[in-house]
Amino acid sequence: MSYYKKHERSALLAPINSEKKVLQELVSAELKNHSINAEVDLLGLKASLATGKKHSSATLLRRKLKTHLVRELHEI
Amino acid sequence: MRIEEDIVLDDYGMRRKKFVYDHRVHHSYLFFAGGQIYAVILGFIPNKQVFSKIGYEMPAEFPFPANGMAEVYFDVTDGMDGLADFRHVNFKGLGGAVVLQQVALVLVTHFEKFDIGGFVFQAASGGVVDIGRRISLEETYDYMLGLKSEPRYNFKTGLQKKTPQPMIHKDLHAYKTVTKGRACYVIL
Repeated sequence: MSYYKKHERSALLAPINSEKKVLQELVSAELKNHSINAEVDLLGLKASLATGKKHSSATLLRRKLKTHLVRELHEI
Repeated sequence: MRIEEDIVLDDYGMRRKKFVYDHRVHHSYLFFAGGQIYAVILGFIPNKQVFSKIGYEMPAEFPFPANGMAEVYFDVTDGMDGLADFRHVNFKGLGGAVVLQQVALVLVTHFEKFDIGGFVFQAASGGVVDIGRRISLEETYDYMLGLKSEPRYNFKTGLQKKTPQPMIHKDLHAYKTVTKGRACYVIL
């Protein structure tokens, strides 16, 4: 079998659970912010994300990877 | 948890949100692909102690960056069912590549915007994560980061596929460690 199948899987559980909690907290916060009609808000969000982009992901990424990094270095 | 900032990144078709979780600043980037909303989360890791506590490892030859790092994970966020199970999402055509391109775009955008020294993430695997995948996430990330370039062959026809172009900026480099069954990637 390939090298990729040789790893033990049990060690993976803890970090993924932590990541799951963050994602769930994020979605909960979103729902609290838009609790009046979450479904309508979700459709609105989908529409705004789908229509906002001016170029394809491939084009945008290709441009970014070809040019020099321009760092603004804002503090987190 | 409170969302402290919500910014529309029009050019990229994304929204960036800032929130604090577990005393650490996180940013989420939301984007739409293949009919689903995805969230890429970047959690700030200020020092080596936090980095090691989470279970990440630096490549032996590099110190932890003085300006910190960001841990990365992403998944679909439509509703709470199966959230962050990192299940395979079936796409027709090239949808899967679009998601990975968008994630790579998030990383470059985040690196340009904020003062961080690099990124760290792991390849989820095992259980529901692997169901329906022709190749593991680990192998996908290896190709994506230019760590693997062996030819791939079409599952049905046996014909050689085009070698995927790495999705990492030439000024950044990816390093991989596999410890205790976990593939950990560091980008510096």
